[in-house]
Amino acid sequence: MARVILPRALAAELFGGRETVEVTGKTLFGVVHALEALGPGFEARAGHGLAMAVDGMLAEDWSTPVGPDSEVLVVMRVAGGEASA
Amino acid sequence: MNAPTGKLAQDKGYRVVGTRPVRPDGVDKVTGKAIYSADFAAPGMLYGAILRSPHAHARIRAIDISAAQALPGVKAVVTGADLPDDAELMARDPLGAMLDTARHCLALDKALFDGHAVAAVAATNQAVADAAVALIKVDYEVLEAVLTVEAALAEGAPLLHPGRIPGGVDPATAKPSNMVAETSNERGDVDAALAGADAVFEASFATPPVHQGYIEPHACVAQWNADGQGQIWASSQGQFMIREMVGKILGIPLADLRVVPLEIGGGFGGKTRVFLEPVAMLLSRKAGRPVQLVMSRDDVFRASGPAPGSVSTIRMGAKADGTITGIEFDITLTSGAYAHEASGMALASAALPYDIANFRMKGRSAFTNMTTNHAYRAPSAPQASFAVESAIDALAQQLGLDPLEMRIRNVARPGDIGFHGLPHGEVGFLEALEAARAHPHWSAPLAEGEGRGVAAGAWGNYGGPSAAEVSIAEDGTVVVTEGNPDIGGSRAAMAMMAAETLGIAYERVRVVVGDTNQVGFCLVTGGSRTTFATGKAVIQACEAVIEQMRHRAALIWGVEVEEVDWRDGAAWCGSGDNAGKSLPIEKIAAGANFSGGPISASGTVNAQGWLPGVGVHICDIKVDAETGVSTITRYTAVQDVGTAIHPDYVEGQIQGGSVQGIGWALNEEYVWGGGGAMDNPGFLDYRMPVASDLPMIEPVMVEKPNPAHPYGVKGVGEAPIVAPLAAVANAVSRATGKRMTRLPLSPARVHAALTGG
Amino acid sequence: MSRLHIATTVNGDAQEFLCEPDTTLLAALRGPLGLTGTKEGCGSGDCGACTVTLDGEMVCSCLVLAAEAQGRRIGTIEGMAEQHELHPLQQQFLKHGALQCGFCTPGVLMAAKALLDHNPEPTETEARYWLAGNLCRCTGYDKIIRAVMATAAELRQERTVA
Repeated sequence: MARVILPRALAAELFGGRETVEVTGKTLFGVVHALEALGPGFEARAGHGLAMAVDGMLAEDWSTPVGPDSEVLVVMRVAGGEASA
Repeated sequence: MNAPTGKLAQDKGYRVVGTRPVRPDGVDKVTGKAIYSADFAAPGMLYGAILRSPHAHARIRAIDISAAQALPGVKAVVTGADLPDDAELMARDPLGAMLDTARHCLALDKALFDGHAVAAVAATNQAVADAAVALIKVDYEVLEAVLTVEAALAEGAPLLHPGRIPGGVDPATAKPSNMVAETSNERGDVDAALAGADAVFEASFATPPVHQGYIEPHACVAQWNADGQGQIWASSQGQFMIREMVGKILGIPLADLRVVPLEIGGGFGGKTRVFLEPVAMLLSRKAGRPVQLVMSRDDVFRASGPAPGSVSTIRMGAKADGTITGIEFDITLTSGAYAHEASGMALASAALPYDIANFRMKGRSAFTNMTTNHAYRAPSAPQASFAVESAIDALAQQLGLDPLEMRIRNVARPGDIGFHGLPHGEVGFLEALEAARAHPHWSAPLAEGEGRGVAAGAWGNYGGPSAAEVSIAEDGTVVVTEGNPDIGGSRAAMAMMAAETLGIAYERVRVVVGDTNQVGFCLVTGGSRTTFATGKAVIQACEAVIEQMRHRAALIWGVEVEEVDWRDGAAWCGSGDNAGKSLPIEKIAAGANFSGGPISASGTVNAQGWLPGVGVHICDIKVDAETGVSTITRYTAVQDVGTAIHPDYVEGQIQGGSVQGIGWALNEEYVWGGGGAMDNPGFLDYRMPVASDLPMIEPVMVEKPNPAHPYGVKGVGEAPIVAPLAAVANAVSRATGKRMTRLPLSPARVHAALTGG
Repeated sequence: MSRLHIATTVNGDAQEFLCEPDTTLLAALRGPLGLTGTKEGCGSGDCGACTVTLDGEMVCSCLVLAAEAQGRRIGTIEGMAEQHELHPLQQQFLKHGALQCGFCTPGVLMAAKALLDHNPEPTETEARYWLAGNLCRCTGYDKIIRAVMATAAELRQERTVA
């Protein structure tokens, strides 16, 4: 089971306050789908305004593999010189 | 100019990367031939004009366009009612950004800022269009306006978006307010850290909204045909951005909307969204002809996307040896009329160069009755960093420490966990600080009445999606097509990276910035991503083309492709009868049709592995005690640039960003008059730096390459604007003996601080 | 309002156009004369992007009425190069990387040429004050000033040799 760490505000909004969630998924696609099932609305946000890191490396490519002991960190996306909405 | 002079390029054996060739679009730009947005005309074009609200906050009860429509020469009049309705806009973008953008471009039931577009006209000439606009009658119900975050967030403040509930507030709220959203970040125990510090600095800071100040006003020509297909000619930081926004707002399939990028006269983040294009499209549809819309300078200030103003408070504690024990930081930014939520970026950037064990940071944005705020070069990092870097300077003074040494003591190194919770990659924060410390400016004596300020400032940068195509012409010259508008020399950088990869001369490569129907998707020229991400796509396409040419050579020689090397612009045979022979690119290209056809490949990336840029700036200032005027006598800007592909243009980014930051620190601000109108929407009173204000800006490039890019590129465009606010303020603070916490440090403000007035 | 018929000389060529009494020279250049090299940055004479020469003196064309061009000589960026031979200023600007977006460049070049026509040996300070009316937001002015000083030196060299 991969361990997913969520930002507090998102955890409160979509996951009933749970900031750490365990999910199964072979890639980030799997993780996103699993999180969507637990907290509907996550997938839309994941595509916009959130970023995910697998074992310490930011990964925008959702085919990035996720291992059974991986840690997935969900962070607020930060990008500059362009629209922030 | 023909060989790289930088140590890194020499060590790596680069032949093109690191040199300073003339840019390929240079002749057009020095002879006035380059076509910028307002230079373009389409056959049969109509001229547009926009009616803008004179009220900062008002309900629009009715708009009477009849007199305007009746004026001879008027071919179309539109209002917000001509845009799709809320439901349709939300269906195409459930997060609401396109609804906000659409309503910013053309108001529907409320005018939310002085300058808000409420109607538009297209006519056979500009004079008729302007006259028609004056004939449109709008029935406004004027409402109370709020211009500061304090007023916007006060109890009982008039709401710009009644019923809207802020996001991210913890604990969650159901109460509508002018707060857009709140965000926070914390680690460790900041209260204990501050209690255990040997020195604590606490202060409030404030910065006003400022404008990117690009010299070219926004303009576009749009044509929306009866069959639904459309064309837009406009300068911007991204033709794909225009396509996406206009396509989503108006419900046009993206392949039906062709956006042609014209040369851009500056953007700095402010041209990464649309203002005129949807309106021009609506007018064109009604009139059945292309329509041009051009902003005046007045319009640019009042109705485009300036940077947020900020108020912040900071508490920072340090030990006697300068180790920062903890930071407590709170910042509120303006958002303007619609949502621009930048506090996340503020928190991520505020202390980015440092490794801080204990911190508690909170940020939020508030709607105010000014034009919607938008990105400006490292958005929100200057505002946030101003407070942090001033605090470090004040603590260094208090503790009797060298301010550069104190920063070095707290610097974040590769592997340290950053504010985003992830380990840093090969960041060059330490190297930049050390280079500043070693620079002669740091140890040069100060003249009478001068103060010296130093500050660091970093920006995370970005990578993201880009596509490029590389084609080999029959004579072996190369055409690179990519989709990023050239703001500061990126065509040259792409050509250089392609030439280096292919092993051919720079002059044999030409770069085309394609329109949205000519090349795959490229994210905006912004976020300091272009040389990094689009560069990767170009390199990938070059590598694919090299693969093809190795295959062609293998066919010609009758060997396996593994036996063929590529170097110095030629294929080299490793075995058999032709061992040792080479086939240069021109020969392979000439025979391409006999070996399989045209040689061409594309590269697509969603570039990962970007690294931050960091600047360390040293500023000497002389303050005139009688007038409060600050004169910069010396300015040095050190920056970790990864690898400088074209050193002239990297230096240019450092110098340009530094001067924008200097203007932000010393003179620039939105001045609000009665009724919420901007008092200074022109270059006379919105005082940007001019040539006589400044000395030479010495750029010092530190090159610590990024392992995730074939040539070690780190984005350079944004970082240089972060440090100057505090570098200047620290210099003035030291020259005057008064800690400067409110920008700009205009003569009146400095004089008041000196006289206690 | 009835339109005016203006006959003038632009970059050495006889030109004619129609305009309103309140049309600016800038609008006439960019419109009926088809010379879009001169730019509008502000329309109020504060940015210098519209700098041209009027009988050899540099002016902001947004502050000159088109009607004032009657019978006079206008010089614009399009006339700076000699056919395809770039003026030394244009060459030095390219060599020094003295432009980024290039929008202010025509105005800066016209003003810089006027400077060197008046004062072939400007100090850095003199060059900075002469160009104070030309806003540039991209470069911070550093490379622009270097290019102007380098051109001044180059032209002095040529005169010495010649």
